[in-house]
Amino acid sequence: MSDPPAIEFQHVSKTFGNRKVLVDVSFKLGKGEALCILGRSGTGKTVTLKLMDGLLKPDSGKVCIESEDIAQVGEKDLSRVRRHIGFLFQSGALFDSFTVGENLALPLHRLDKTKSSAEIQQAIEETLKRVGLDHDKDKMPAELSGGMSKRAGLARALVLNPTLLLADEPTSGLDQITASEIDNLLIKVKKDLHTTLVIVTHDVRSARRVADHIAILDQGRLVGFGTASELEKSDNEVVRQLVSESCI
Amino acid sequence: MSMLRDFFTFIGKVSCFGVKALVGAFQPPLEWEFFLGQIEEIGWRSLPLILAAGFALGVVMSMHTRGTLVQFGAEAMIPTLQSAAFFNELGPLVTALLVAGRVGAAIGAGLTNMRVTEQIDAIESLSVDSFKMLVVTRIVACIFVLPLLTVFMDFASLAGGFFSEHATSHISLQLYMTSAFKTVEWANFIPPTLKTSVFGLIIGTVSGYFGYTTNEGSQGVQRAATNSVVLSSLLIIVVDVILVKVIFFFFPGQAI
Amino acid sequence: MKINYAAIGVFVLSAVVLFSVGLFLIGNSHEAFSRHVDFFTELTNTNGISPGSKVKVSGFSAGQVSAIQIPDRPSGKFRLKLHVDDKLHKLVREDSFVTVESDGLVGDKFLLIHDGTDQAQQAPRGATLRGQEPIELSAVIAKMTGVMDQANVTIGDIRTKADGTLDAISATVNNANGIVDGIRSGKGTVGMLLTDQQTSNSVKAAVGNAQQATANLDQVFVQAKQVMTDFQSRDLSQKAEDTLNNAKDASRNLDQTSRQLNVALNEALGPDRAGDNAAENIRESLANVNLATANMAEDTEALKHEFFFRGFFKKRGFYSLQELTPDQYRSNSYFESQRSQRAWLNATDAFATDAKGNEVLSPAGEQQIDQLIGTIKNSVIDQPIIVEGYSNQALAADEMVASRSRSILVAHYLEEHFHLSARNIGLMPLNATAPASSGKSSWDGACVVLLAKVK
Repeated sequence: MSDPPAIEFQHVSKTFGNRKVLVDVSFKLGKGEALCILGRSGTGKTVTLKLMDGLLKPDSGKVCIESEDIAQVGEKDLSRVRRHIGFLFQSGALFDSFTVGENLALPLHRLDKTKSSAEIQQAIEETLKRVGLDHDKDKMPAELSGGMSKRAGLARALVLNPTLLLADEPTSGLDQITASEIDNLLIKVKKDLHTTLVIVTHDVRSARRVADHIAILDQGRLVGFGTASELEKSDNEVVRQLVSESCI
Repeated sequence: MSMLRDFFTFIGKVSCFGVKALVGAFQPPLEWEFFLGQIEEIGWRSLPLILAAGFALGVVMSMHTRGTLVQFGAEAMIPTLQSAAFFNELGPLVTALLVAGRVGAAIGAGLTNMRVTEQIDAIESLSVDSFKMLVVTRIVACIFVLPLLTVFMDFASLAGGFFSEHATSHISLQLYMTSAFKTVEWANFIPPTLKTSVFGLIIGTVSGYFGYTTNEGSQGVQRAATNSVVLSSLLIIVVDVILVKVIFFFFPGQAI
Repeated sequence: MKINYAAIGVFVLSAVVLFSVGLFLIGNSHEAFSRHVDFFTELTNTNGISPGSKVKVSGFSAGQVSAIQIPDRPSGKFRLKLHVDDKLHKLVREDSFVTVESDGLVGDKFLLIHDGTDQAQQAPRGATLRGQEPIELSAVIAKMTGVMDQANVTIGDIRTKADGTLDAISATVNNANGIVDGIRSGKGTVGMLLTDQQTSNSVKAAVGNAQQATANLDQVFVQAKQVMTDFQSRDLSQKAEDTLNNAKDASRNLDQTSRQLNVALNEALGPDRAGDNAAENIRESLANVNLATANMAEDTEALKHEFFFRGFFKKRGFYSLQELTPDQYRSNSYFESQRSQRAWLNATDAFATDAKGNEVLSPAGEQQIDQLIGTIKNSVIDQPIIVEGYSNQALAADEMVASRSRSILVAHYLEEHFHLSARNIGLMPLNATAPASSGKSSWDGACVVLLAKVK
């Protein structure tokens, strides 16, 4: 691999108070690959995502996005890095005082200051179309259903055509059909835009569908990293349990 | 001991929070859009409450003072007393308390909710300083809006007072206004009105602090709202004592 | 986020408008938006006026004190700058003056510019208006004391004059008494009395004198009245006035002399119906005298009891020469302090015994008196004179009788020979002992004392 990895964790640890959330986590993820992080609640999955976006800083170790240690870069460089990262939060995290369209416009305004307002409108509409919300541009987040909120959140994460998409439980709390719709969207994004995906999920089935690699976190430690079939053969009981399809 | 320590820690944190917000207000880029949004939210949306409360309070005050002053044959003093009471103290204080109730709760609950639903993280992920976008704009809007609302309160109370007086004694508007403004001086109007900016700072800072730093689900939302209202109301009254003293220091003629 | 710019606009704009309306309506706003003119005034005491205190022109709120310059030495004055609405400039004239007033009993202090007269020129901008110092209570009292002193002096004048008048009346009445007594004691009938030229003349003269005395007394009374009115018109405190009134009410005693006189004359003239004209005249005159003296007495009595004047009367120690005993006269500081001129009449030289054995003035005595009067010439007319009678006889009663008769003799001579008014001559039988201030310890004869005139 001559290309630098999209994401590289080097001995990352993170503590909140007395609680060790991440302990010495190291892995690499190549460009255009999809990683699903599995683990029980409270094992540091979301923290891992936030570390990738620079929302949190590691206590020790390095988090490199395209070889840049984002814990060390300044506000300006962080902004440049983030220009290429989309983040889908667990509950969509739409700004509830903005309409769906305005929610999408915000990243364009804030991170990409080159576009004219017509281009922005065009980008918004295209992105909404991609997630199937082309008629809901002027709705307020409160008017959206759970699945629609997730899709709107995804649209906001995608509106800048990121090279790295971080998704925090994109399918949780949704019915099977809606969940697979979201999965399809993610797969499509990965295929069409050659986007690197990092997905935190409980849903093993969708993980197996979407992911190239699966990472298993248990009590803050990375206990497994590999393809689904590799992990099934793992000698770690927890890893095998989590990866097995019956365990939902 | 640890409670005392916690108390001082809390005071220190809130103070730093307020100072940081004030400093942030002068550092570009300014979040104009959000600021104006907050003006609308805190100012315009509070206006019906302020006007209704001011008018009602004006009527009530007028009726009370009438009952007392009539005993001394000093009905002519009613407008004067009304304007003196509202311009000096009641207008600023009641406005601040009403806004603390309405806006303090909204800011406290709103920010906590945004924290819980990761909206603040979402903003941060856009490389936007959420503190400046959400907290500074709210605090500055409070500082800016409170004097304006106080003016509305003052005039609404005069309108209420006039309404009440007109109903009982058929006083003319001109006479009412003349005697209401006869003894009031700028020092009774400008400093008390502008002091509400300090109340605005208190409301914004206290409720912003509770809202921005609480991250505990729906229970946290409720607690942040309650704490915001209670603490900012209390601080407003306490700080008012100091502010009145300060005004007397600069305008010694007002101290009677 | 949809921002309702219209709402924000309405909100902010109406707040600003209301705020401005408030500013404009509030009292001192008129000043901020109208043209102004500055005046100055100087006061030694600011009496609580501070920068920002209100300035009124003829009671109309006109502006405020904008600056106070503190004097650099204690004798200097505070210089106050008055910021006054130009509209009221017309009322401020060059003779306008400034006083410190207060709003009600407990209100704020403010400066009042009293409007000037129409004739005076409008005060130019920056003019310094005369500052009238506020009246402090202590100043009022000081001023009142001044008035009192003045009144004291005036009353003193009146008193002296009144005393003379009363003495004159006494003398006149004494004369009349003598006549009436004469009639009564059978010295001729009424018809005889009336046809008797000498007696009739005497009566006429007596009545004339009495009338004269009454006129004088009335004059004095008017003067006294004036003093009182003047005194009352000085706006002294109500208390002082009350005291005066009380004193007036309390003291309704007539001057002793005039009352006695009245009774005596009524007794004497009433039943007889003698000398109809004369008696009527006398009675009428005396009624006048009575009235006048009663009034006078009332007022002087009032003054006597008035605490402000107590000191004055105390200093004099008497109210009428008639009331004065010889001892009091001798030791009286008033007479002691007088720069009086004395002529001592020796008993052996100045007095002689006539055919009937009564003592009379000898030519030598008359000459001595003429000499004394000669020294003061014309001013003798209103010269207050006291005739002291002396006698050093073995018996106290004789002494008294002799000293009294001698003083009467001399007084009679003075009255008749120089046509002096009896009111100016007082009798003072002193037995043998002379006042210490006279320079002699004892004397036999008489002494004419020319009192220094009261200015």
